[in-house]
Amino acid sequence: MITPILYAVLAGLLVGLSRQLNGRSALSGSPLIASFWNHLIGFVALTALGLAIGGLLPAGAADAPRHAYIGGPIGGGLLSPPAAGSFHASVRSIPRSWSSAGRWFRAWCSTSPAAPPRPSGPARWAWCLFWSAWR
Amino acid sequence: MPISTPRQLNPLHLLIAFGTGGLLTLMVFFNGELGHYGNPLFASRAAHGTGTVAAILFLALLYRRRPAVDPQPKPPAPFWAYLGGISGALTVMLTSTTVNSPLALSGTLAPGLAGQVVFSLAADRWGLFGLPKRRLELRDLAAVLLIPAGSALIILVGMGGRP
Repeated sequence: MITPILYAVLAGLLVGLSRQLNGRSALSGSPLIASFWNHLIGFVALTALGLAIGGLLPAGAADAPRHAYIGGPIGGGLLSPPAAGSFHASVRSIPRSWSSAGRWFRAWCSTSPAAPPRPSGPARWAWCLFWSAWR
Repeated sequence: MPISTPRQLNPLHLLIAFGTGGLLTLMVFFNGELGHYGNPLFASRAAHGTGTVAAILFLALLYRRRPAVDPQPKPPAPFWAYLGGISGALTVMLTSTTVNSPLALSGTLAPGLAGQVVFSLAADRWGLFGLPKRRLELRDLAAVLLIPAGSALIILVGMGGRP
């Protein structure tokens, strides 16, 4: 179990590293151009690795469902560097928003007579979270 | 000199963060599925190949919208800035392995988030890759402690609930 956990942590460290490198690359061009180079260089490196050690086209690969191939376009087109960077910045800010949400729940969400109409259930929690971040 | 940057949270950014997080999770899941049918190398290679094609298509779509003259010429990127593809290739191989391990999807993402936070704190602290140095705060330490604790909960509870 410890090996997969270490792999996952290492993957996280590499995500951070990739974000910095791709972000720097994007500064000199555009996010999409950086994404293009990022994916192309990765593809070439992996092809070279596969040619060297084997496993380029494993036996069961043809059985993979077609939707599984959407992961690449998600990374290449939709999650180009600036989006990933803002994601990271936002992730780091989420704890603050949660604490703000707690304060807001007490101070406004549940008690203020001036509160506008609100949704109920889980949507209300989500709405309160966003509103607390706005304040 | 270390600087302390104010953090203003925009709800739109938070919304984007949630959406992007969902897409990232989907991406890891799909890549893991490729790894299940093939191997981690195949998963990463397929993801990077299709990602390259997608980037080309998006670039072609946006080609007409580019400004005729670049108002501010940008300096060329240093060589090392292009090495993100190598670390990205390794990342997909690692996550494709762990998604198909007892960690599964959530158990892969949680320690990964811890790794990201540790890297970002180090990058901020020492100003890696040209980032401005930032003084770390007690809140950052809390994140470092709480995220691994949450990761452990996700992994252990997930393991407990697995048939």
